[in-house]
Amino acid sequence: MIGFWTLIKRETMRFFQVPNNTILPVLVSTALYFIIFGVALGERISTGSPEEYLIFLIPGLIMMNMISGAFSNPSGSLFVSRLLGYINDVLLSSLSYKEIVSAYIIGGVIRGIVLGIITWITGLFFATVGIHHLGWFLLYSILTCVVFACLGILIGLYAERNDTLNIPRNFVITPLVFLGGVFYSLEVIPETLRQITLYNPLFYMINGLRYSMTGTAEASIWLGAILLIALSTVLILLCTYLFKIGWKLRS
Amino acid sequence: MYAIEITGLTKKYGSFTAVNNLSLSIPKGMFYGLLGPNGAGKSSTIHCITGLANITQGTIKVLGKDVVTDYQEARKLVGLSQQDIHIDPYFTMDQVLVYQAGYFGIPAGEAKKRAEKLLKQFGVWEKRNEIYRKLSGGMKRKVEIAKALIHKPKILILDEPTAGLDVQTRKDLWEFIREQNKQGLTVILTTHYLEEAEALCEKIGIITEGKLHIEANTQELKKQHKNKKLEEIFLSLTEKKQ
Ligand SMILES: Nc1ncnc2c1ncn2[C@@H]1O[C@H](COP(=O)(O)OP(=O)(O)O)[C@@H](O)[C@H]1O
Ligand SMILES: [Mg+2]
Repeated sequence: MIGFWTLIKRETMRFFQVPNNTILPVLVSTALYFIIFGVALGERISTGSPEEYLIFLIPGLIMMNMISGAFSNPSGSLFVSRLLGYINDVLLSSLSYKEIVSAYIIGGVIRGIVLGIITWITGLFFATVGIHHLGWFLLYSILTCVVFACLGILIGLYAERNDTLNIPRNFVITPLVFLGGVFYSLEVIPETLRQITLYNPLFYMINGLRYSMTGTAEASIWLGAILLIALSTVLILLCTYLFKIGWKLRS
Repeated sequence: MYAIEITGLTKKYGSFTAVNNLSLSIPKGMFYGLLGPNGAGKSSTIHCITGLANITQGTIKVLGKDVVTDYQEARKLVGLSQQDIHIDPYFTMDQVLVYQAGYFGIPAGEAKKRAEKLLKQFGVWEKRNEIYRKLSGGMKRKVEIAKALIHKPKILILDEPTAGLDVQTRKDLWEFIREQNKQGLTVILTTHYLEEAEALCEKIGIITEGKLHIEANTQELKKQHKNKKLEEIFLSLTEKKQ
């Protein structure tokens, strides 16, 4: 157990040690989103009152920052330690593959949750959103972080160059998050976009977290939960298998 | 039971065979020299023992523990000082050791004590709060070896540890390692300094092109070759092969 905790500590420490690089930017961008979309444009992109729109927006932004944090922690850490070779410290140790994978995932989840909480606190300056249903809230926030931490592990293992590391983030995750209903409800968008949105897995994750906080949902909560459980199970198994065979880790 | 027992080891990188059906047994407590020209497959063999490389074929046991099926136990028994040193650039030397001990399940308090002892032993205690980049080549090597010893392994593998070290540093290092060997530590050494191997190793194995070319007791080998220097013997043996 000590070995496992040591690796978790290592995985989370860097994040807390350089708050100027990891926490402050999130704080600033989140505040900007609230000001631009919530305060300035809110009335034009929503049917309800500005207050209602801010309440709608907050869970979406929480999800966005959680996803980004959960993904970047393991992807960055694995990539750099592979590049510089000090991943060998872990490979030479008596940690089991399961412990190693779990520690990287937990590192990602912790970073995701911390960023989510920071977003929430920032949001409190604009509108008050609490928790409507704790069970769903925990399930959606934690499993979403698990899914993206696993994706971060996959990219952290796969990438040979720094730019590869950012491709999935810039070209897949961010678009899917933005088009997944962070900023708008299905009601206000054209029919075609609405149909497309229903195929976006991120929509169901954002929808689920929004339900757990505000009590209103635009799609089935169960569907999102099943999707998350299925995705996280498959991804955890895949990551563990890749560590076991030493994919991109052992020569 | 052997400290290291390699049976029919083959290591391929793609279609290239770096280690070719190698079998090798190293008894407990021995100071063993693994010699051979550049690219012979020494590091590849070592990486197969320590889990840095996947075994293509064959088995390796460390004090009876299979390095694949019983890898966690096997890893505890071995410490490796790598040929190329890789250390987290943001960690201080103290942290490097304490974290490494932590991965092996050693509590922080005990890890700190061991780190202090090793850093003092190697004369780099004043550098405990420095990061890797601020260290000289010799100091880096000392920290790498301290890292290999932090979990008190039964077997220490030193992959070209003295490349680039000055005479005094080498002498100190060997004094320390020799002392550890006397206390029961099995030591496996690869080096290009053959005088070093001659002076330190009870037994040597010479690898060429991924195969064990010759294995002999150092003194007997010298006797067989009319007390020539190991360097000359090595050259005549490895030349014949080519
Ligand atoms: N990761 C790797 N990928 C491909 N080839 C490798 C790799 N590591 C070593 N080799 C090749 O395997 C051979 C043996 O290398 P190595 O075991 O490092 O030799 P030694 O340590 O005896 O100098 C060399 O030809 C080397 O180029
Ligand atoms: Mg080598």
